[in-house]
Amino acid sequence: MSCDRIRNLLDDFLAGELPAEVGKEVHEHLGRCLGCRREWKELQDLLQQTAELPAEILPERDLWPEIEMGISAARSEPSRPWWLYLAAAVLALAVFSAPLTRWWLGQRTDDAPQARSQPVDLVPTETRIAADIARSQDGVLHARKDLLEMLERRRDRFDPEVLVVVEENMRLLDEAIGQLYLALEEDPGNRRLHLLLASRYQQEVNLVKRVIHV
Amino acid sequence: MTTELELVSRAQGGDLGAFETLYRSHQGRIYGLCLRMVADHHRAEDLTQEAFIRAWQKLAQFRGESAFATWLHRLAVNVVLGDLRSRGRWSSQQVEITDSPSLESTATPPGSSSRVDLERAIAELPPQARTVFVLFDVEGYRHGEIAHMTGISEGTSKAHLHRARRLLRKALSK
Repeated sequence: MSCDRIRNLLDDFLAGELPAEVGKEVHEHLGRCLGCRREWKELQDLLQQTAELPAEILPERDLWPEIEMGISAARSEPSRPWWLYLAAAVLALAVFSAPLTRWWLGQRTDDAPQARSQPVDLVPTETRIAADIARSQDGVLHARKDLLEMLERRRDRFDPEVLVVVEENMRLLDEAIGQLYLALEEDPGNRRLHLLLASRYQQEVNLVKRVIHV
Repeated sequence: MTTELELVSRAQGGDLGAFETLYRSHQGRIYGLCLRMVADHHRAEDLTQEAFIRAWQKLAQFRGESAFATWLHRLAVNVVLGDLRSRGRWSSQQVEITDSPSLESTATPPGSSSRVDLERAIAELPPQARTVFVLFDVEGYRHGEIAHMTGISEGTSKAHLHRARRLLRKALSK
């Protein structure tokens, strides 16, 4: 058997999956071929190193608040008939096409920041959903506020070109957040909108974190 | 002391505090799995969250036939594979590699530089080879299970593993 053939069989040899005759042949080849023996040693070393990798790696931040928020939103959502999901899909399409429509009509989206700072007007049956979600969002909002203040304080330390890109991204995220708040005024119990909102806030936090830690 | 089965039972009854305790004890294992499979710590965070939210939603289906950790792990693997498929990463040959600070910022015991080298080399593998390597060599799944979860044949799984090990040996010998 050639060295190439032997080397292709090493995984199966290691796993003990070769027929006895072939296994014997590989074993004998390894005894007399330095190159293949070196490959065999490297494979064993790799598997030894792999076995020593830690089974656990902790995330750099606490992921629980967002998990809790996702769970709260999921558990507050009652089961609905299929046509309501269709209606929700149409609503979502309307929400995401809104910026394009506004651009098409030549309107400005000046109302977005105000909408973000105002509490969502809730109907009573949805109060609990919103309260759960609002509690979970608090952590993200505080982190966002602290990071933005830190970014402002250290502004002179950053490359102006980077700041332009960051600010443009922040503006786009803010616009998306504003649109989501407007959509939530129409449908305060919509779980997907709440999750999208949380996700956009988290993106802002991650963006600023990345800039600050560069 | 509360056992894990008691916590699971309480969580199945709607006790979110019990589920948080389960999250705290399994987060490292699930995040580590996600991070090694997708090689991007932001996505790994998202997938970890998604896995635990889905676990909460499916808790009623957990009957205790396997350990909770095994059930949760399998669920997380499916979440990651679903994400890879939806991004077309399972079939693509190239993947964007982003820095994974988690791999460097964790504890640094003696010999950790070779560990970091190995983690980096795993992150730089092509997606399919990385997925099979992580599932087989790191997580201990068999080729039959990997084939079942990913939809590839056992032979293809073996071929990806062979390729991954070869690429890793090459990367580590540089």
